[in-house]
Parts: sequence; C-alpha cells; structure tokens
Amino acid sequence: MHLSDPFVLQLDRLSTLEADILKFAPIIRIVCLAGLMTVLATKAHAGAPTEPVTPAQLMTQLGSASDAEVSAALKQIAADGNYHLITALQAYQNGLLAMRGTQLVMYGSPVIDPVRGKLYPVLDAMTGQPVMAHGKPVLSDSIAENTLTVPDADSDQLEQTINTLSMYVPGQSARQQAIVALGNAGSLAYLPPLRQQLAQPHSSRIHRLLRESIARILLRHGTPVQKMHAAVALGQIHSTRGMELLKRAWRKLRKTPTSPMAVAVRNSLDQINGYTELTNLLFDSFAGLSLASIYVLIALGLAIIFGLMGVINMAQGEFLTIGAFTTFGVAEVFRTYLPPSDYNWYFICAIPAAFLVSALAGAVCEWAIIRRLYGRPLETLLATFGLSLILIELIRVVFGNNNAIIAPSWLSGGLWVMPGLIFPKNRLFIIVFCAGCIIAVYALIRKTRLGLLLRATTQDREMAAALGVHTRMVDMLTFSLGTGLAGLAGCAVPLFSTLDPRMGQSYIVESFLVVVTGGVGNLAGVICAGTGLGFLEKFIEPWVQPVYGKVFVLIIVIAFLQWKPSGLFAAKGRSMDH
Amino acid sequence: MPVAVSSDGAIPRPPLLDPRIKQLRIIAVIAVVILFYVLIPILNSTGAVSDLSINILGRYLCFAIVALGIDLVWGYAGLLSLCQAFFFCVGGYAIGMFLSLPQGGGQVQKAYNNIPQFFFFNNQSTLPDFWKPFASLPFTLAMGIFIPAVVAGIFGFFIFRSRVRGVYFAIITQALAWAAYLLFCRNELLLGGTDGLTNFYPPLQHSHAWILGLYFLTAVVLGLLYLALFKLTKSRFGRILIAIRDRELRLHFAGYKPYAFKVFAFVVGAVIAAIGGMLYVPQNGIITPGTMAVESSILMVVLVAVGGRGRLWGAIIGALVVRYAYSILSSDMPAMWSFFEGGLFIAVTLLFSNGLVGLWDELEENLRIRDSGLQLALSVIPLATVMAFVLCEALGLMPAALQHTIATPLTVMPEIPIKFILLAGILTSVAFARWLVRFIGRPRGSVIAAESRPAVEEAHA
Amino acid sequence: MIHAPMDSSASVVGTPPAYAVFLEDVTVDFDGFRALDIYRFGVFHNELRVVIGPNGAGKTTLCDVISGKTHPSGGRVFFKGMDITHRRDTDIAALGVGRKFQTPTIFPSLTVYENMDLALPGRRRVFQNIFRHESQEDTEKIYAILRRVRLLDVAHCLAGTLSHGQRQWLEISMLMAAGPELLLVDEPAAGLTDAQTALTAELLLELKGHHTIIVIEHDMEFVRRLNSRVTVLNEGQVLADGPMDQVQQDPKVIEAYLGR
Repeated sequence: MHLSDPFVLQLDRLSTLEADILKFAPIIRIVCLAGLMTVLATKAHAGAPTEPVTPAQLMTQLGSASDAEVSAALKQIAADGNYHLITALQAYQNGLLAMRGTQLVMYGSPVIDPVRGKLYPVLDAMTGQPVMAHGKPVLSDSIAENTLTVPDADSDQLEQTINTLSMYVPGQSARQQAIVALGNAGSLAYLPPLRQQLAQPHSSRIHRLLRESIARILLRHGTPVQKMHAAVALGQIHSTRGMELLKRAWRKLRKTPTSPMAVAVRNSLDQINGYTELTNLLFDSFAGLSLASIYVLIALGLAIIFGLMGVINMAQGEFLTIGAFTTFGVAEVFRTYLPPSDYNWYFICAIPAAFLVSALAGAVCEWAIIRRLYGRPLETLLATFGLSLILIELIRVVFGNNNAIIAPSWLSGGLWVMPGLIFPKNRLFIIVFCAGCIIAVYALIRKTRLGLLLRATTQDREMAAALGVHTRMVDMLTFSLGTGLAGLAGCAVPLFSTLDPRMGQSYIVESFLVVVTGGVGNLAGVICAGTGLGFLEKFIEPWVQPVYGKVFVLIIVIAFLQWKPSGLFAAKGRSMDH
Repeated sequence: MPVAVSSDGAIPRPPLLDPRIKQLRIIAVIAVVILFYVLIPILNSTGAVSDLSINILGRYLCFAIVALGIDLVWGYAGLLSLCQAFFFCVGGYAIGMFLSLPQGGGQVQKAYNNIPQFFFFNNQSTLPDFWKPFASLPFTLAMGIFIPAVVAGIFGFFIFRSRVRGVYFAIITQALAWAAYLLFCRNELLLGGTDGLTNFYPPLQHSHAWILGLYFLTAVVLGLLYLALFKLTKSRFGRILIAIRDRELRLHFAGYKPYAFKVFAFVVGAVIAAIGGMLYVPQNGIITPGTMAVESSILMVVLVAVGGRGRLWGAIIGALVVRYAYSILSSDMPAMWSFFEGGLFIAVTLLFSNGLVGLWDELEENLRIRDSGLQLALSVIPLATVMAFVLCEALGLMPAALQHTIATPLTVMPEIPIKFILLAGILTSVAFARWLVRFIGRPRGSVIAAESRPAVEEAHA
Repeated sequence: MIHAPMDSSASVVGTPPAYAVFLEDVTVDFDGFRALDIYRFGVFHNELRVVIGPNGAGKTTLCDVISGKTHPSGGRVFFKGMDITHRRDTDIAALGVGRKFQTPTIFPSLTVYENMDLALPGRRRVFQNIFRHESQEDTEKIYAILRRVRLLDVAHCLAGTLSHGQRQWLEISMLMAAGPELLLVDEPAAGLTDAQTALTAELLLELKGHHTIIVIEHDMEFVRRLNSRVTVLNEGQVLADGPMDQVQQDPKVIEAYLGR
C-alpha cells in the first residue's frame, strides 16, 4: 500500500538520535491534535510514556502461537494508533515478516541483480530501514521459511487493525481516504475508533467524514433506531457516498412508503440529490469558465490583431503551440540542470519565456509576411495558414510528436470548496492566470502610451501616421502582443494535456467563432463571447456527445449572427465600408 | 428619361481581340482539347501511358472540377468558402453508399448479410432505412447534387441574409467544415466512422476499360462544366458577382439583393464540388472523413490561388499543378511536403498573387505590344517548364536520367532527385533574368496591361 | 419660387401625398454623439431640394437615413406615404430611392458600360440575369447617357481606370439610367472643373420636374445655379429653409458658416 512511503520518509528526516529515541521509547501514542501532525509532535510525546508495553514487544507478540495473544496484540496496536507499524503489519499480512535472530525483519520488494537474480532487501520491521551487515544492506536470495503466519481466526482482525491505523497517518488526504475506507468496509468493529476520533478536535471536513462513515456503518448494521438516525444524518451531511446504501434501503422500504424509516430515507435521498445537482452545476460552471479562459486568451490575441490590421491569423494556434513547447523546454532545462527541489519553479520562469518567445516569433512573421499583405484579409488568411503548416512541421522536427511535462506540485490536487465539490487546482490556476492576463491587456491598451498609439492606429491608420505615429512599428508590436497572448495560453495548456505539434489546431476554430461572435476589434465582446461559448459547450456536453456539443455551438453562433451580424459589440460609426 | 441626346457620334464596340492573341488562344484551346480528349486516351490504349497514371490524372481532374466551383465563389464573388471539401465529400459519400451496396458492385459478404461490413461494428445486422434508396444509381446521383445544394442553400441563406461577409464568412464556413468533419467521424452516423466507405467494385481502379472510361467521363464533365460556368460568368449574373466582390454595399442601393446572388453562387459552387466528389470516389476507391478535414478545404482554395483567381481555366491548371506537386513531393520527399505546402501558401499570396494566369496574361500582353523575343521567352519559359514537368510526371514520361537522386546533408531531406534541381534551377534563373530585365529592358505599357485583364481586388477594405 | 411653409400640411399619421419624403422627429446617435435631430423635413413630389450646411452638419447622415444605410435612433421616415423607418436599404432602393455617394462609388472591375447596365431598372432577381440578354433598347439608352456625359469613348474601359471626375459622372449616369423616383445626390460637383460642374447642374435641372431630387452640396456657385429651395442643416438640426437668396441673408446661417 502506498501508505508505507510516508513512514520511511519520516524516519529518513529524523536524526539518528531521534530515530533511536523513536525505536526504544516506550509506546508512542499518537494523539491526533489538529494541525500538529508533524514529526515534532511525535517528539513531544515521545518522552511521556504511559503504557508498559513497547510496540516492538507487541509486534513480537504476533509471532505467538496463540490466536488469542495475536488478537490481543493487534487490538492493542489498533488502540495505540501507532501508524508507523502499518508497513510491518502489511508485511505480516503478506507473509513477509520474520524473526532474524532477535530482530523482527520484513522483506522489501525484490530487486533484480544481474548475477544473483531476484534479491529481497531485508528491512527492519520497526523502522523500515535496511538491515546492515558489514556496512552493506543485507539482501536475501529468498524469503526465509520462518516467516510469521497470520492465524486464520485473526486475519479479519489484522485487516481491521491496518485499516484503523491508516486513520492515524498524518496528512489530511491520507486520513480522509482512510476514514472513507472504513466507511466502505462497513464493519461494526470500526465504530469505536471512529467514535473516538469524532470526540477529538478535528477539522470540520474530517468530522463530516467521520460522521458519514459512522452513519454508513450504522445504516447497515445498526439497530432500527440507529438506522433511522443514520439515514437522517446522511441526508443532513449530503453524503453522496451514502446514496447507494440509502437507495438499497429505499428499495426494501418501497412497499411501506409511509413508515417513518421510509420517510427518513426518502427525505435524505432528496436532500442528497438536490445537493448533487447543485455541486454538478457549480462544477460545470467552473469547467466552463476554465475552458472559456483559454478561448478568451487566444481570441483576445486574434481580436487585437484583426481589429488593428484586418489580418486573420490562422497561425494563432501555432503560437499557442510555441508557447506550450517553450514551457516544455524550460521544464526540461530545470529538470536537467537544476536540483529536483527547484523543479517546481520552472512554471514561474516559463510564463515570461513563453510570452517572449511567441511574441518574438510573431514579430518575425509580421516582418517577413504579414506586413506585405495589408488590405488583403483573405490572402493573409491563406498566407498565415501556410505559416501554420510550416510552424507545425518545424516544431515536429525539433521536438518530436508527443511530449508531456509534469505540472508543478503546487498545481496538482484540488481545492476543496464544499463537500462533494473539489476544483482541480490546475484549472483554477488557468482561470486566475487568464483573468490576470486580461487585466494586464486592458491596462496596456487603456493606460499606456503604446495602448494609445495602438488604439489610434486601429481607428484611423492614415491619421495616426500623419501625426507621426510609426504605424509599422505599432503593427509589429501589436502582432507580437497578439501572438504573445497565444503563447501565454499555450503556457497553460501543458497543465492539463500532452503536447503535440498539432495541438494549436484544436483551439483555433473555436477561437475564431469567439472573435466572430464577440465582434471584431472589441475586447469586451471577445471576453463575453469567449465566456459564453465556453459555458455553452460545457453545459451541453453532459446532455449530448462532445461532438454534437460543438455542432450545436456552431448552430447557436449562426443563429446569433442572424440577430447581430457584426457580433456582440459591433463598432458603430459613419464610415462607409465596414 | 428626358435626356437630350444628339444623334451624332459613333457607338463604340467592345475592343476586338488582337489577332495574335486570338491565334494563340485558339492554338492553346485546340492543343488542350486534343491532349486531354484524344492524345492521352490513345497513349493509354497503346500502353505508353499506364493505367495508374490515367487513374491519378482522372482523380486530379476531379479536383479541377472543385476548383472551378471555388473560382466562381471566390474568384468572382469574392466569397472565400472554406468548406468546399465538405461538399466534395457529400457527393463522394453519396456515390460511395451506392458503390458499397451489392447493387453498385460493392464487395459484400454473405456472412455479413450482404451489407457493407462496417455495419457489424455498429451492431447493425440489416441495412438502415436511409441507405436503402441508395441502391439506385439515379437516386444516388440526384441526392449527391440535391443534398449539398440544400445544405449550401440553407446555410448560405442564413449567413448571407444576415450580411456576414468577408473574413467572417470564411470563418463560419471553416467552422461548418470542422463540425461536419467531427460528425462524419462518428460511428452513429452509420457512414463508416473514421474508416469511411470502401470495398467498392474492384475493376473501377484496376480494369483498363473502367479506368479509361471514368477518366473520359471526368474529362467530359469538366469540359461541360467549364463551358457552363464560362457562359454563367460572362452573363449579367457574372458581372453582378464581380460587382459584389468590388462593392457589395453599392449594390444594396441599386436595389439588388446581393445575398440572393451569393446564395446562388454558393449553391452552384457546392453542387460542382459534389459532382467532383462523385467522380472522385469511384476512381479513388475509398472515401473517409479525412478528405473533408479543415485543411483539405483550404488546400482546395490554394488550387485556385496558384492557378489565378477570377479566371476559370486558371483554376483547372492550378488544380493539376498543385495536385501533381503534392503527389510527386509526397512520394519522392515525404518530409518536405508540409514545408513546401506552407511555402506555397505564402508564396502564392506574397509573390505571385495573380497565379499562373498572371504569367499567361503577361504572355498575351507581350504578344499584343509586339515585345522583344527575350521578353516573350521570359514569359513562356516558366509556364512551359511547369507544364512540361507536370505533364511528364502525370503521364509517367519523365526521362530516367532526371529521376536519379543526389544526396544532401539535410536530415529532413536526405536525397533530392535531379528533376527538382533542374526545375528549381530553371525557375530561379528565369526569375533572376526577369528581375534584371525590369531594370535594363525597354519600358513597357503597363497601364494598358492593367486594363486588359480584370483587376483582382479585394472587395473588403 | 415660393413654397408654402412645410409645417402647415404635415400631419402625424401618414403624410400628405404632396410630400415624396417626409422625416418626423428623426434622431441619429453615434455612440452618444447626436448626428441628426430633425423635427420635420419634407420634400415635395418632383421637387429639387438642395441641402447645405457646414462640415459635420448631418447632411450625409440625412441621406443615409432616407436610403436605409443608417437606421434612426428615434422618429419616423416616410417615402410616398409609406413608413420606411425600419426597412432595409435594398427594399428602400426597390421602392424607388436611388443614391449617389459622396465619394464616387462604382464597380472598378467592371467596364463603364457594364456599370451602367447594372444600374438599369428591372432584372433584380437571380434567374433574370442568367439567361436573358440585354435588349437593344437598353443598350441605346446606356450609350445615349454616356454620350451626354462624354464617357462614350471609355465605355468599354474598366471603371477602375477612370479619373475622379469621370467616376463622379459615371455614378450620376448610373443614377440617371436607373431613373428612380427619388434621387439622393451627395456632392455631385466635388472635384469637378467649372465646365463639368455646369454640365452636372444642367443634367440635374433636366431631371427636375420628373423626379424628386435631394442634392447635397458645398459649392455655392453650383447651388445658385440649381436655383431651388434650400435647406440649411447645422449640428444635425434644420437651421433655415427657403430660397437661396433668403437663406443667405439669414443671420443664423451666416453665423453657422462663419463661426461666432
């Protein structure tokens, strides 16, 4: 089980002296104080012995021939809550625990040696450290005959002990998983430890899970009154995990729908269903928002470029790809040249790098191609499409086909919002990131001199030129800004998908639709349309296949254009041709 | 209209064509007609040109048909439609459905109830109802034209009526192509999913008679469509399309409803694309949704861009040149095709936006103003070289000496055939010579040159 | 010429048949800027009305509102007694409103003759344009007009190659060929020589009495030559109305033109 790692890791971090204290100290009772789950806590309590029996003695007792003694030892271990013993107990369960002289040892997972074949490292059962002989870790050819066997009568007890101990492992998520696992196992034997934990001052999330697991166990095995209370409790805490049990109970009670129990179950089911709908709605909105922010970021670049120069940049998707691969490159550099502990920071460096690289690429393309095609929007469309083909192929030649990078650890996992609703951190980051970019773009356009020049050139190129604005330069800077924004969007993409030279293509059509719907050259329109389309797509998807969702979005856009042919926020003016 | 008009003053007639140009055109037309309708079939029957070459030529002529339609829609009306490959595939799927069924000679097996095999991966043991009428060829042909016409009609009506123009139109059609592609990839549509339709009557691509017959049919249809579109574009309708391209808004105030004309042109373009598709699929032997991917539509537009917009025969030449370039490059230098394709898009818009038609116009202009032999040669050589290259490749008549390859230090392109070096060498030296002549040659009547051909201007400022 | 004050006969619902064009309470806003604010403005059947005013007075916007290029923010527009406020430009054109734009707007990729041909009335549907050929009558009419405006020599040249003055005339000719009931002529004399201006005035005067014409012009000499009732617009509002001599004396007009 994966829980073995923290154990080993924790001990690694202790000094030798501390490890010794841990080894020989009398019972270390892990009192689960909220927020103090660290080694420090362990140290604080190490010097306060309250029980005469050491964990080592208890473990040794497992080798006893008497079922009752084994059972007693297991019970005591469970009661002590010494989660450090989980690895050893699992080894015991798998028949890998043995006495080596007076030392209790376990066999680790085998390693392959070219000469001697499969070798089992011998580990100290209490610490998980390799047993050393002549300064070298001991490797055993085979598993010794004298391993401790679990008496049949105690196998359940062992299982329960391991499960109960899991609950004491420090760290919120590990504890939560353990509590849920106890509820899943659903045995009455888990009630005492769960209730004991409930009495402790835990966080509300842990309390909720404890109540949930207790209710789930009681709904299965409790007395009728307990069942009734459990059903009510499950409804109150909106437990989705309890739904299956409640449904099963309802099926039995369907014939007597007016009985108090049936009413309680029915009410609880309704409560949970309503709650689930709410969380689904919130999650869909969240997912829609994060999809929308990618669209908005790409479309914002497109709209700036189109608004200023009338250029439809079909290669915008490839600038996103460039941004994504820049991120990949930065991650590779960090991985190769810097210590692993610094790896997480690559993303911070990748953001400006992605922007600069794709902006630079955009500037080069503008200089080489785009500026020669002014006033011919349809031809720029073809030329930039050609550009996109070349860029895709170049990226393929340089980077190969499939690449993936590991997201920084501070972006993995989720943010717990409410029971049953967790927002993945990477998506959350994308939303915040895009919002930041949009605000930055707005500030750039509204507050800076470059923004002023940009707006002036957009509104009347000739007049701006007559006033001494270097319009060519503004064009180049604007094009770079647009492609740089795509690069920023590309920076966010590796957080949730693999990298492929063609990945830009999958965003481009939708981003174009966003620009068309929003109204060209109007950033507020683009933001509204991007958000709208992102939401629309995510809300339709649960009803129909994703493909039909996209078709549906297209139809909606066409219908929308019937109503507002020049987009959401059309520019109004007196000029003859637009 | 009470305008006093004096009766004197001769009414001018439209200027007559220069006799030399007329001669040149007549010769060119006769040469092309003889080549495609007489010489190539004869060469094939005598065995000088392989059946495979004819099959490929026939398929490429289908792209030329599509290009004709694009030229009408884009070259004349200025509507950049990026969903022509979709219409092409609608026609192709229609005929593909007929060819998949036993009535159309499709290879079906008794073990699979004599219906196309892929149905069994969709858990269908009987022919779905909507497939049944496609057992009849006339129905299939009618549907192959009717469905794209209706789709283009409805789509065009809503798009054009709301006055979606220019780049907006291009984007919306691209979205349509994309949505259609995604739809056709679905198995639920019962059209074979991503694998498409195949297992047609084998002789279609293997027997001499069928191959030549289909080639001839394609060539004849292409000829007829060319004539029909020629009439159409020379009619007042064609002029209205050009007016739409030039200044659509002005037409509103003249009482025209441009959207009706645009819808009609769009529908004609779609139907022509579908006809191309219907001729393509029997010769190709398979139709998959990949053929209607977003890029394919854009590649079809490039056929016209290379040939030269606003001139129907330019579309045909462009289609043949680009398709052959594709087939040669993708077989001889597969890694280079994408670069070449991208470069082609950029070059055709950046460097020679009049396409091959531009070279021809220059030739005619040189003839008209009795230009020097050098000028004439500089117009003829690139045109003739490209044509000769494509023809030799098409008919498999490329001299063996030119097929040898030379090793290069590039990793993406380890070796390069001599023929490409030769072609590139000729074109580059001509380009250089033209550049030189522009400075040292005698001045030429460029104003008149601009007048003699329709200026291809963008309608949207 | 003496005209009745126009307020006298105007009723709110429907317009008296005497008016070909009638605007009522029409306002046009561009992003908060009030480009046009007309309480009442009417032009009689077969009248030639000249609209003058300084730059930005709303003259072109007035044309835009009548021809349907711009839809008013408020108020109503009537043509021949029909409410055309919310009709589309194409429908208004089909009702008989023709227009010449301030900057000459022709089809540069078509020849002069073809431009004229497209302007001829009738044949506005798709299929009428595919199979039928133009009649001898139409051809003669086109050549007659072209001869009149001295464009006969360039009849088969591309319109894009014409000079500015030639384009002006081509557009006027197209309007003449179309022969709509109402002609909106926006600055027909801009960029023309004196002789050409004189001819343009002559043409317009010939059309007068057969068509309703609204001419927008800056050139006072030209306006005087037209010798018609004049409406002065300033800052989107009707400032004065009457014969040329009379409005020229109007202190408000003088102030508007010369500034405070």
